[in-house]
Amino acid sequence: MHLHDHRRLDDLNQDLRQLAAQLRQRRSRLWAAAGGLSWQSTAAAEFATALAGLLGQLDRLAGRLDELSTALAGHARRVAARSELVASGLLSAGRAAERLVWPC
Amino acid sequence: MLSGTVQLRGGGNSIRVQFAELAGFAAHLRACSDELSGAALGLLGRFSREPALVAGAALDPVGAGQLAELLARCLALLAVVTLESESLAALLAAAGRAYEAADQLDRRLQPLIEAGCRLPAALLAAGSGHLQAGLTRDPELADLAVDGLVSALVGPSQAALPGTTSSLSGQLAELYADGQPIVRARPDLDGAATDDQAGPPRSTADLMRALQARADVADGGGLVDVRTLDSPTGRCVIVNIAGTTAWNLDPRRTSPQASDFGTNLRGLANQSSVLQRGVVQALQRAGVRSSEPIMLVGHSQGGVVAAQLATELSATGQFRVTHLVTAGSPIGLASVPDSVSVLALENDGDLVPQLDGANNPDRGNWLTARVSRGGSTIAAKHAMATYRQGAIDLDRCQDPALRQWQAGAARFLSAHQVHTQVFQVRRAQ
Repeated sequence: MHLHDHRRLDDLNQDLRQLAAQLRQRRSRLWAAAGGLSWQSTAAAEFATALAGLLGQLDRLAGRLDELSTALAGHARRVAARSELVASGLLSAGRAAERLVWPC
Repeated sequence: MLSGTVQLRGGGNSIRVQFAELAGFAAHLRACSDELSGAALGLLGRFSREPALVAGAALDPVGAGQLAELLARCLALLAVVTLESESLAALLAAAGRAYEAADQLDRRLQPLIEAGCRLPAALLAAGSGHLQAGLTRDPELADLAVDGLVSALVGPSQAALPGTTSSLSGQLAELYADGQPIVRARPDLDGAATDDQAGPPRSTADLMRALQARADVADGGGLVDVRTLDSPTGRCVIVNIAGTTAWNLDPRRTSPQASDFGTNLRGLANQSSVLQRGVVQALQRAGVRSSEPIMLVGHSQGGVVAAQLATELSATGQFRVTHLVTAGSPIGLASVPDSVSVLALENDGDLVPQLDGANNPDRGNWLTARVSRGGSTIAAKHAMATYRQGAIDLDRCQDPALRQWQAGAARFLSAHQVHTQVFQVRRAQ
């Protein structure tokens, strides 16, 4: 018995992972598009470096989403375990109370 | 030659890229920006409304706190990446349109005028307002954009033709009313809004710090410092000129600000501008004598104006410019005479000094110092604060050419007293 609906947290986590994957795909497409530009000077290469910096931030963002997802999964596990513990405690207390009221 | 993170050499590079490719890549970036905006809003909405998280917080408060912290970090990074990708997309799209207009110019300026009129709207398009927010947050991004667009309009596509850059920018500059300068003293800015509290400059970094102090206060644009220094070898003067402050691409709207887009065009065309003439008046009003050595210091557009002033004043003899220091300025086409000692700072990844499509001259009186500072964004590479950091690196450099330049500028860097007067140059309407 759980005191909360852990499936909702699992769904949220799934969405987080999908978003991270989506960002990585977008990053790859941008990188490929940047490679297709016909830059013709070293200064332009420096500009491409600036773009690479932006793409690196996308990578970091995807990494942070992964981190958030991992933390959410841990939180969901802990909440599930504790809710089960609390629920079993309540169940035991209920049975004890039942015995007090109806001793036979 | 290399010394730490500083590279000293001459030269710059131009950029050539097809406008269609620019527009295509801008579309990619914009799609990325839209995706990120949507993701940010969606994520925030899901987390703030999720009842399971509220219930879970009671059972695992520490974990819930960690989640909140991580979520805040994600959202902050999302906001930054969204802003940067959209800003970059808008700049690329605008540059692409400018290329296209320039290609269609065909000796008729009207299409280009129309393109120019559309540029501000293009830059502020896309609905989300992220770019506008970015410009508000970082005015130097606007400065960068203006400089980049000037180049896009007149430089790269025509760079192969000698003299075309100046010629085209000169034609465009005629569309913008230059007018007459109105110069007034700003004693209200003489104190805290200058670098006087830090004492006389002792290094290139100190020069940049003072220039940053000037650039940090826009207040109507066209602000110029005239710094009088008492040194062991006599009185000398440093003039600080900051970058672009007005974003008036539409030539039908004349800006009262002297440090505007029209001044950028005149700078690239090697034409006199209202800001340039205003600085001369400021020197007169400050009581600078024609025999006193002057060092002109400018960032971005300010460096371009300073280079033109150095050329003009050396020719007329009205004032004695001996030194020119620029930061992130495209001055490769300026005809600075040999009597002026030039130090041109250029940051790795900063496009602006490269955008005139001309190499800095490799002459004995002209030292180009390449520094490597700033974040990954274009705006950060061009920022005044970044050049100040680069100047700190430069001061640590032991290169003989730099030591020689510093020795030549010793009178400006060994003063025992400094007093700054601030003037404002405005365009008469």
